[in-house]
Amino acid sequence: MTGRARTAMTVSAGVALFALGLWAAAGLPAFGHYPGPYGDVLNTVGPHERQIPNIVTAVNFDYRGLDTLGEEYIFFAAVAGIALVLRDDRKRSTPKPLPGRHALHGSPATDAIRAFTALALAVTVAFGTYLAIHAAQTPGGGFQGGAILAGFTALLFLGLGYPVLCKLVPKGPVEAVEAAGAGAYAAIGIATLVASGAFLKNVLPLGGEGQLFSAGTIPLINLCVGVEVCAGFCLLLLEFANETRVEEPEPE
Amino acid sequence: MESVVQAIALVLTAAVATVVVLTREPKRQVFCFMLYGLVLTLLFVTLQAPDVALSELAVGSVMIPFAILATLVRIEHGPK
Amino acid sequence: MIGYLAFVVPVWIFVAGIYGMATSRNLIHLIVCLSVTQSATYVLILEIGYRTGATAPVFSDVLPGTRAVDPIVDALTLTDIVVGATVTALLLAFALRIHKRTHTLDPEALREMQG
Repeated sequence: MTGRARTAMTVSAGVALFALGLWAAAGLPAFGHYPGPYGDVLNTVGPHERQIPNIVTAVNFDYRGLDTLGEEYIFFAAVAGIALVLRDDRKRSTPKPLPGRHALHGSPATDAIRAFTALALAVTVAFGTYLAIHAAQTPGGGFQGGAILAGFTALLFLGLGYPVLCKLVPKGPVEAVEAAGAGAYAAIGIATLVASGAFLKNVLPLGGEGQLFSAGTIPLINLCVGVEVCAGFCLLLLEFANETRVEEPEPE
Repeated sequence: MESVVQAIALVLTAAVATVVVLTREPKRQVFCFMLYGLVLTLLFVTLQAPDVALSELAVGSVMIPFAILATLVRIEHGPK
Repeated sequence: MIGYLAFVVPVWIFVAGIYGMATSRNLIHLIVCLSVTQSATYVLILEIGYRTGATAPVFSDVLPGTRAVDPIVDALTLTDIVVGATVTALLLAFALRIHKRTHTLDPEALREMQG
Protein backbone atom coordinates (compact mmCIF):
# COMPACT_ATOMS: atom_id res chain seq x y z
CA MET A 1 0.00 0.00 0.00
CA THR A 2 1.42 3.36 -0.95
CA GLY A 3 2.24 6.05 1.54
CA ARG A 4 -0.66 8.29 0.54
CA ALA A 5 -3.22 5.54 0.89
CA ARG A 6 -1.85 4.61 4.28
CA THR A 7 -1.92 8.22 5.48
CA ALA A 8 -5.51 8.66 4.29
CA MET A 9 -6.62 5.48 6.00
CA THR A 10 -4.79 6.40 9.20
CA VAL A 11 -6.31 9.85 9.30
CA SER A 12 -9.86 8.59 8.79
CA ALA A 13 -9.38 5.83 11.35
CA GLY A 14 -7.82 8.38 13.69
CA VAL A 15 -10.82 10.67 13.43
CA ALA A 16 -13.14 7.76 14.22
CA LEU A 17 -10.94 6.72 17.16
CA PHE A 18 -10.91 10.30 18.44
CA ALA A 19 -14.72 10.50 18.32
CA LEU A 20 -15.00 7.14 20.05
CA GLY A 21 -12.57 8.24 22.72
CA LEU A 22 -14.49 11.46 23.40
CA TRP A 23 -17.75 9.54 23.66
CA ALA A 24 -16.10 7.13 26.10
CA ALA A 25 -14.63 9.97 28.15
CA ALA A 26 -18.06 11.61 28.36
CA GLY A 27 -19.24 8.63 30.37
CA LEU A 28 -16.65 9.19 33.07
CA PRO A 29 -17.42 11.23 36.20
CA ALA A 30 -16.74 14.92 35.68
CA PHE A 31 -13.16 16.13 36.01
CA GLY A 32 -12.42 17.03 39.61
CA HIS A 33 -15.23 15.01 41.13
CA TYR A 34 -13.56 11.75 42.01
CA PRO A 35 -16.39 9.63 43.41
CA GLY A 36 -14.81 6.36 44.40
CA PRO A 37 -14.78 5.27 48.04
CA TYR A 38 -11.54 3.29 48.00
CA GLY A 39 -9.20 6.28 47.81
CA ASP A 40 -11.05 8.15 50.56
CA VAL A 41 -10.97 5.14 52.85
CA LEU A 42 -7.23 4.78 52.35
CA ASN A 43 -6.60 8.48 52.97
CA THR A 44 -8.57 8.43 56.21
CA VAL A 45 -7.47 5.10 57.58
CA GLY A 46 -3.92 4.85 56.26
CA PRO A 47 -1.94 7.36 58.33
CA HIS A 48 -3.15 5.91 61.59
CA GLU A 49 -3.25 2.25 60.66
CA ARG A 50 0.22 2.01 59.21
CA GLN A 51 1.81 5.07 60.88
CA ILE A 52 2.90 6.44 57.51
CA PRO A 53 2.27 9.93 56.12
CA ASN A 54 2.91 9.10 52.48
CA ILE A 55 -0.13 7.10 51.44
CA VAL A 56 1.15 6.52 47.90
CA THR A 57 4.11 4.56 49.28
CA ALA A 58 1.77 2.65 51.57
CA VAL A 59 -0.40 1.70 48.60
CA ASN A 60 2.64 0.70 46.58
CA PHE A 61 4.33 -1.48 49.15
CA ASP A 62 1.64 -2.56 51.56
CA TYR A 63 -1.93 -2.35 50.37
CA ARG A 64 -1.07 -3.32 46.79
CA GLY A 65 2.33 -4.84 47.42
CA LEU A 66 1.75 -7.78 45.13
CA ASP A 67 1.21 -5.50 42.12
CA THR A 68 4.51 -3.77 42.82
CA LEU A 69 6.24 -7.14 43.02
CA GLY A 70 4.94 -7.95 39.56
CA GLU A 71 5.98 -4.58 38.16
CA GLU A 72 9.45 -4.93 39.61
CA TYR A 73 9.83 -8.29 37.94
CA ILE A 74 8.73 -6.80 34.62
CA PHE A 75 11.54 -4.29 35.10
CA PHE A 76 14.00 -7.05 35.93
CA ALA A 77 12.99 -9.10 32.90
CA ALA A 78 13.22 -6.09 30.57
CA VAL A 79 16.74 -5.25 31.76
CA ALA A 80 17.73 -8.90 31.38
CA GLY A 81 16.29 -8.84 27.86
CA ILE A 82 18.30 -5.73 26.97
CA ALA A 83 21.50 -7.33 28.26
CA LEU A 84 20.73 -10.51 26.34
CA VAL A 85 19.95 -8.82 23.04
CA LEU A 86 22.84 -6.37 23.13
CA ARG A 87 25.50 -8.76 24.36
CA ASP A 88 24.62 -11.40 21.85
CA ASP A 89 25.85 -9.26 18.98
CA ARG A 90 28.91 -7.95 20.72
CA LYS A 91 32.01 -10.03 21.07
CA ARG A 92 34.21 -7.91 23.26
CA SER A 93 34.29 -4.16 23.54
CA THR A 94 37.44 -2.11 23.79
CA PRO A 95 37.76 1.36 25.21
CA LYS A 96 38.33 2.93 21.81
CA PRO A 97 35.44 5.07 20.66
CA LEU A 98 33.81 4.54 17.29
CA PRO A 99 35.45 6.41 14.41
CA GLY A 100 33.64 9.36 13.03
CA ARG A 101 33.46 13.06 13.42
CA HIS A 102 30.59 13.07 15.85
CA ALA A 103 31.40 9.96 17.85
CA LEU A 104 31.17 10.07 21.63
CA HIS A 105 34.77 10.32 22.70
CA GLY A 106 35.95 8.66 25.85
CA SER A 107 37.72 11.45 27.66
CA PRO A 108 36.40 14.97 27.99
CA ALA A 109 38.21 17.89 26.49
CA THR A 110 38.39 20.35 29.36
CA ASP A 111 38.83 20.46 33.09
CA ALA A 112 35.68 22.51 33.41
CA ILE A 113 33.61 19.53 32.33
CA ARG A 114 35.28 17.25 34.83
CA ALA A 115 34.79 19.73 37.66
CA PHE A 116 31.15 20.28 36.80
CA THR A 117 30.58 16.54 36.50
CA ALA A 118 32.07 15.93 39.92
CA LEU A 119 29.79 18.55 41.42
CA ALA A 120 26.74 17.20 39.60
CA LEU A 121 27.61 13.68 40.72
CA ALA A 122 27.64 14.73 44.35
CA VAL A 123 24.25 16.44 44.05
CA THR A 124 22.71 13.53 42.11
CA VAL A 125 23.87 10.84 44.50
CA ALA A 126 22.84 12.81 47.57
CA PHE A 127 19.43 13.73 46.21
CA GLY A 128 18.72 10.27 44.81
CA THR A 129 19.64 8.55 48.05
CA TYR A 130 17.55 11.02 50.05
CA LEU A 131 14.53 10.42 47.84
CA ALA A 132 14.91 6.66 47.95
CA ILE A 133 15.26 6.42 51.71
CA HIS A 134 12.58 8.88 52.81
CA ALA A 135 9.81 7.10 50.99
CA ALA A 136 7.56 6.97 54.01
CA GLN A 137 7.76 10.63 54.98
CA THR A 138 7.98 12.70 51.80
CA PRO A 139 7.01 12.13 48.17
CA GLY A 140 9.60 9.69 46.99
CA GLY A 141 10.34 6.04 47.00
CA GLY A 142 12.38 3.24 45.58
CA PHE A 143 11.33 3.75 41.98
CA GLN A 144 11.90 7.48 41.79
CA GLY A 145 15.00 7.55 43.97
CA GLY A 146 16.54 4.61 42.18
CA ALA A 147 15.96 6.18 38.78
CA ILE A 148 17.48 9.50 39.83
CA LEU A 149 20.41 7.78 41.55
CA ALA A 150 21.17 5.73 38.46
CA GLY A 151 21.66 8.97 36.56
CA PHE A 152 25.14 9.08 38.01
CA THR A 153 26.12 6.39 35.53
CA ALA A 154 25.18 8.63 32.63
CA LEU A 155 27.13 11.51 34.23
CA LEU A 156 30.19 9.30 34.65
CA PHE A 157 30.09 8.21 31.04
CA LEU A 158 29.53 11.65 29.57
CA GLY A 159 31.74 13.69 31.86
CA LEU A 160 34.55 11.49 33.04
CA GLY A 161 34.87 8.95 30.27
CA TYR A 162 34.41 5.28 29.55
CA PRO A 163 37.45 3.93 31.49
CA VAL A 164 36.24 5.62 34.67
CA LEU A 165 32.77 4.22 34.05
CA CYS A 166 34.11 0.70 33.67
CA LYS A 167 36.13 0.94 36.85
CA LEU A 168 33.38 2.45 39.02
CA VAL A 169 30.37 0.53 37.67
CA PRO A 170 31.62 -3.00 37.00
CA LYS A 171 29.22 -5.35 35.33
CA GLY A 172 29.38 -8.33 37.65
CA PRO A 173 28.67 -6.67 41.00
CA VAL A 174 25.89 -4.54 39.50
CA GLU A 175 24.14 -7.64 38.19
CA ALA A 176 24.54 -9.35 41.54
CA VAL A 177 23.13 -6.34 43.41
CA GLU A 178 20.15 -6.15 41.08
CA ALA A 179 19.36 -9.82 41.52
CA ALA A 180 19.75 -9.50 45.28
CA GLY A 181 17.28 -6.60 45.38
CA ALA A 182 14.70 -8.45 43.33
CA GLY A 183 15.09 -11.62 45.34
CA ALA A 184 14.95 -9.81 48.67
CA TYR A 185 11.47 -8.48 47.91
CA ALA A 186 10.16 -11.98 47.35
CA ALA A 187 12.09 -13.21 50.39
CA ILE A 188 10.40 -10.59 52.57
CA GLY A 189 7.08 -11.71 51.20
CA ILE A 190 7.79 -15.32 52.00
CA ALA A 191 9.05 -14.39 55.45
CA THR A 192 5.83 -12.53 56.21
CA LEU A 193 3.89 -15.49 54.84
CA VAL A 194 5.69 -17.77 57.26
CA ALA A 195 5.28 -15.32 60.13
CA SER A 196 1.62 -14.55 59.79
CA GLY A 197 -0.09 -16.53 57.10
CA ALA A 198 -0.54 -13.77 54.52
CA PHE A 199 1.94 -12.84 51.80
CA LEU A 200 3.48 -9.39 52.35
CA LYS A 201 1.50 -8.69 55.50
CA ASN A 202 2.98 -5.85 57.55
CA VAL A 203 4.24 -7.67 60.62
CA LEU A 204 7.18 -5.60 61.85
CA PRO A 205 6.58 -3.07 64.63
CA LEU A 206 5.13 0.21 63.42
CA GLY A 207 6.94 3.13 64.99
CA GLY A 208 5.61 6.61 65.59
CA GLU A 209 4.35 8.53 62.63
CA GLY A 210 6.99 10.59 60.88
CA GLN A 211 9.96 8.73 62.22
CA LEU A 212 12.41 7.24 59.80
CA PHE A 213 12.05 3.66 61.02
CA SER A 214 8.30 3.41 61.09
CA ALA A 215 5.57 1.61 59.19
CA GLY A 216 6.80 -1.93 59.53
CA THR A 217 7.93 -3.72 56.41
CA ILE A 218 7.43 -0.71 54.13
CA PRO A 219 10.92 0.85 54.52
CA LEU A 220 12.55 -2.56 54.05
CA ILE A 221 10.67 -3.31 50.86
CA ASN A 222 11.28 0.23 49.67
CA LEU A 223 15.01 -0.21 50.20
CA CYS A 224 15.04 -3.45 48.23
CA VAL A 225 13.13 -1.86 45.37
CA GLY A 226 15.40 1.20 45.38
CA VAL A 227 18.53 -0.92 45.21
CA GLU A 228 17.09 -3.07 42.45
CA VAL A 229 15.83 -0.17 40.31
CA CYS A 230 19.12 1.70 40.65
CA ALA A 231 21.20 -1.34 39.73
CA GLY A 232 18.85 -2.18 36.87
CA PHE A 233 19.08 1.28 35.36
CA CYS A 234 22.89 1.27 35.81
CA LEU A 235 23.03 -1.97 33.89
CA LEU A 236 20.79 -0.55 31.17
CA LEU A 237 22.97 2.55 30.78
CA LEU A 238 26.12 0.41 30.86
CA GLU A 239 24.85 -1.81 28.07
CA PHE A 240 23.94 1.14 25.90
CA ALA A 241 27.26 2.85 26.65
CA ASN A 242 29.05 -0.30 25.56
CA GLU A 243 27.31 0.01 22.23
CA THR A 244 29.32 3.11 21.42
CA ARG A 245 32.64 1.27 21.63
CA VAL A 246 34.59 -0.47 18.92
CA GLU A 247 34.38 -4.23 18.86
CA GLU A 248 37.28 -6.57 18.65
CA PRO A 249 36.74 -9.88 16.93
CA GLU A 250 37.23 -12.94 19.04
CA PRO A 251 40.62 -14.58 18.57
CA GLU A 252 40.14 -17.78 16.58
CA MET B 1 -7.00 29.85 39.65
CA GLU B 2 -5.52 26.40 39.65
CA SER B 3 -7.72 25.36 36.77
CA VAL B 4 -6.09 28.07 34.66
CA VAL B 5 -2.66 26.58 35.38
CA GLN B 6 -3.99 23.12 34.61
CA ALA B 7 -5.54 24.32 31.36
CA ILE B 8 -2.25 25.87 30.27
CA ALA B 9 -0.34 22.70 31.16
CA LEU B 10 -2.83 20.52 29.29
CA VAL B 11 -2.73 22.63 26.13
CA LEU B 12 1.08 22.71 26.26
CA THR B 13 1.20 18.92 26.63
CA ALA B 14 -1.03 18.38 23.62
CA ALA B 15 1.03 20.83 21.53
CA VAL B 16 4.40 19.33 22.43
CA ALA B 17 3.08 15.80 21.87
CA THR B 18 2.02 16.80 18.37
CA VAL B 19 5.46 18.29 17.74
CA VAL B 20 7.15 15.09 18.93
CA VAL B 21 5.07 12.97 16.59
CA LEU B 22 5.56 15.24 13.60
CA THR B 23 9.37 15.43 13.97
CA ARG B 24 10.53 12.66 11.68
CA GLU B 25 14.28 12.81 12.15
CA PRO B 26 15.26 10.82 15.27
CA LYS B 27 18.17 13.08 16.16
CA ARG B 28 15.83 16.04 16.51
CA GLN B 29 13.03 14.02 17.98
CA VAL B 30 15.14 13.14 21.01
CA PHE B 31 15.29 16.75 22.15
CA CYS B 32 11.58 17.25 21.54
CA PHE B 33 11.00 14.15 23.66
CA MET B 34 13.08 15.59 26.50
CA LEU B 35 10.97 18.74 26.36
CA TYR B 36 7.86 16.57 26.38
CA GLY B 37 9.12 14.86 29.54
CA LEU B 38 9.54 18.24 31.22
CA VAL B 39 6.07 19.41 30.19
CA LEU B 40 4.55 16.16 31.42
CA THR B 41 6.32 16.64 34.75
CA LEU B 42 4.71 20.08 35.11
CA LEU B 43 1.31 18.65 34.23
CA PHE B 44 1.66 15.94 36.85
CA VAL B 45 2.57 18.54 39.46
CA THR B 46 -0.54 20.58 38.66
CA LEU B 47 -2.59 17.38 39.03
CA GLN B 48 -1.27 17.06 42.62
CA ALA B 49 0.84 13.95 41.98
CA PRO B 50 4.43 14.72 43.07
CA ASP B 51 5.61 11.09 43.09
CA VAL B 52 4.61 10.61 39.48
CA ALA B 53 6.33 13.87 38.51
CA LEU B 54 9.60 12.69 40.07
CA SER B 55 9.42 9.41 38.18
CA GLU B 56 8.72 11.08 34.86
CA LEU B 57 11.52 13.60 35.33
CA ALA B 58 14.15 10.96 36.03
CA VAL B 59 13.04 8.68 33.26
CA GLY B 60 12.16 11.11 30.50
CA SER B 61 15.23 13.32 30.83
CA VAL B 62 18.00 10.80 31.43
CA MET B 63 17.20 7.19 30.67
CA ILE B 64 15.34 7.19 27.39
CA PRO B 65 17.28 9.97 25.64
CA PHE B 66 20.56 8.31 26.63
CA ALA B 67 19.41 5.00 25.18
CA ILE B 68 18.17 6.63 21.98
CA LEU B 69 21.35 8.66 21.49
CA ALA B 70 23.58 5.64 22.08
CA THR B 71 21.52 3.69 19.54
CA LEU B 72 21.80 6.51 17.02
CA VAL B 73 25.58 6.72 17.48
CA ARG B 74 25.90 3.00 16.90
CA ILE B 75 23.66 3.05 13.86
CA GLU B 76 25.49 5.90 12.21
CA HIS B 77 29.11 5.11 13.01
CA GLY B 78 29.15 1.42 13.78
CA PRO B 79 31.04 -1.14 11.78
CA LYS B 80 29.06 -2.19 8.74
CA MET C 1 -14.55 24.31 30.39
CA ILE C 2 -11.61 22.64 32.05
CA GLY C 3 -13.69 19.47 32.23
CA TYR C 4 -13.95 19.20 28.47
CA LEU C 5 -10.33 20.14 27.86
CA ALA C 6 -9.14 17.66 30.45
CA PHE C 7 -10.57 14.70 28.59
CA VAL C 8 -9.89 15.90 25.06
CA VAL C 9 -6.12 16.18 25.63
CA PRO C 10 -5.33 12.53 26.52
CA VAL C 11 -7.48 11.26 23.66
CA TRP C 12 -5.73 13.67 21.29
CA ILE C 13 -2.27 12.56 22.43
CA PHE C 14 -3.28 8.92 22.03
CA VAL C 15 -4.57 9.38 18.49
CA ALA C 16 -1.56 11.53 17.53
CA GLY C 17 0.81 8.84 18.80
CA ILE C 18 -1.00 6.17 16.81
CA TYR C 19 -0.92 8.34 13.70
CA GLY C 20 2.84 8.76 14.18
CA MET C 21 3.31 5.02 14.55
CA ALA C 22 1.26 4.12 11.50
CA THR C 23 2.93 6.60 9.16
CA SER C 24 6.47 6.20 10.40
CA ARG C 25 9.45 5.57 8.12
CA ASN C 26 12.01 5.04 10.86
CA LEU C 27 11.92 2.48 13.64
CA ILE C 28 13.30 4.84 16.26
CA HIS C 29 10.69 7.48 15.44
CA LEU C 30 8.10 4.71 15.82
CA ILE C 31 9.37 3.74 19.26
CA VAL C 32 9.28 7.32 20.51
CA CYS C 33 5.70 7.67 19.22
CA LEU C 34 4.81 4.52 21.15
CA SER C 35 6.17 6.15 24.28
CA VAL C 36 4.04 9.24 23.62
CA THR C 37 0.95 7.03 23.24
CA GLN C 38 1.70 5.38 26.58
CA SER C 39 1.98 8.75 28.28
CA ALA C 40 -1.57 9.61 27.21
CA THR C 41 -2.85 6.81 29.44
CA TYR C 42 -0.92 8.18 32.41
CA VAL C 43 -2.52 11.60 31.98
CA LEU C 44 -6.00 10.11 31.68
CA ILE C 45 -5.71 7.92 34.74
CA LEU C 46 -4.36 10.75 36.88
CA GLU C 47 -7.23 12.96 35.78
CA ILE C 48 -9.72 10.35 36.90
CA GLY C 49 -8.27 10.44 40.39
CA TYR C 50 -8.16 14.23 40.66
CA ARG C 51 -10.38 16.18 43.00
CA THR C 52 -10.83 19.94 42.75
CA GLY C 53 -9.21 21.91 45.54
CA ALA C 54 -7.55 18.84 47.03
CA THR C 55 -3.94 18.30 47.94
CA ALA C 56 -1.46 15.51 47.30
CA PRO C 57 -2.04 12.33 49.36
CA VAL C 58 0.97 12.95 51.58
CA PHE C 59 0.05 13.89 55.13
CA SER C 60 3.40 15.06 56.50
CA ASP C 61 2.29 18.62 57.09
CA VAL C 62 -1.48 18.52 56.73
CA LEU C 63 -3.83 16.69 59.04
CA PRO C 64 -5.04 13.33 57.88
CA GLY C 65 -8.59 13.88 56.76
CA THR C 66 -8.08 16.91 54.53
CA ARG C 67 -9.31 16.50 50.99
CA ALA C 68 -6.73 14.65 48.97
CA VAL C 69 -6.58 13.15 45.51
CA ASP C 70 -6.72 9.44 44.94
CA PRO C 71 -3.48 7.70 46.03
CA ILE C 72 -4.09 4.49 44.12
CA VAL C 73 -3.81 5.96 40.65
CA ASP C 74 -0.64 7.75 41.79
CA ALA C 75 0.88 4.47 42.87
CA LEU C 76 -0.14 2.71 39.66
CA THR C 77 1.22 5.45 37.43
CA LEU C 78 4.59 5.87 39.06
CA THR C 79 5.57 2.23 38.74
CA ASP C 80 4.09 2.22 35.26
CA ILE C 81 6.31 5.07 34.05
CA VAL C 82 9.54 3.41 35.16
CA VAL C 83 8.58 0.04 33.73
CA GLY C 84 7.33 1.58 30.47
CA ALA C 85 10.63 3.34 29.98
CA THR C 86 12.55 0.10 30.45
CA VAL C 87 10.39 -1.69 27.91
CA THR C 88 11.02 1.21 25.50
CA ALA C 89 14.75 0.67 25.99
CA LEU C 90 14.24 -3.02 25.23
CA LEU C 91 12.49 -2.07 21.99
CA LEU C 92 15.45 0.17 21.12
CA ALA C 93 17.78 -2.79 21.63
CA PHE C 94 15.63 -4.77 19.21
CA ALA C 95 15.75 -1.94 16.66
CA LEU C 96 19.53 -1.87 16.95
CA ARG C 97 19.68 -5.61 16.37
CA ILE C 98 17.47 -5.28 13.30
CA HIS C 99 19.79 -2.63 11.94
CA LYS C 100 22.80 -4.84 12.46
CA ARG C 101 21.15 -7.67 10.53
CA THR C 102 19.50 -5.80 7.66
CA HIS C 103 21.24 -2.37 7.61
CA THR C 104 17.95 -0.54 7.36
CA LEU C 105 15.55 1.06 9.79
CA ASP C 106 12.63 1.50 7.42
CA PRO C 107 9.55 -0.52 8.37
CA GLU C 108 8.61 -0.56 4.71
CA ALA C 109 11.76 -2.44 3.77
CA LEU C 110 11.38 -4.99 6.53
CA ARG C 111 8.47 -6.84 5.01
CA GLU C 112 9.16 -10.53 5.21
CA MET C 113 10.34 -12.45 8.22
CA GLN C 114 13.41 -14.46 7.46
CA GLY C 115 14.61 -17.35 9.48
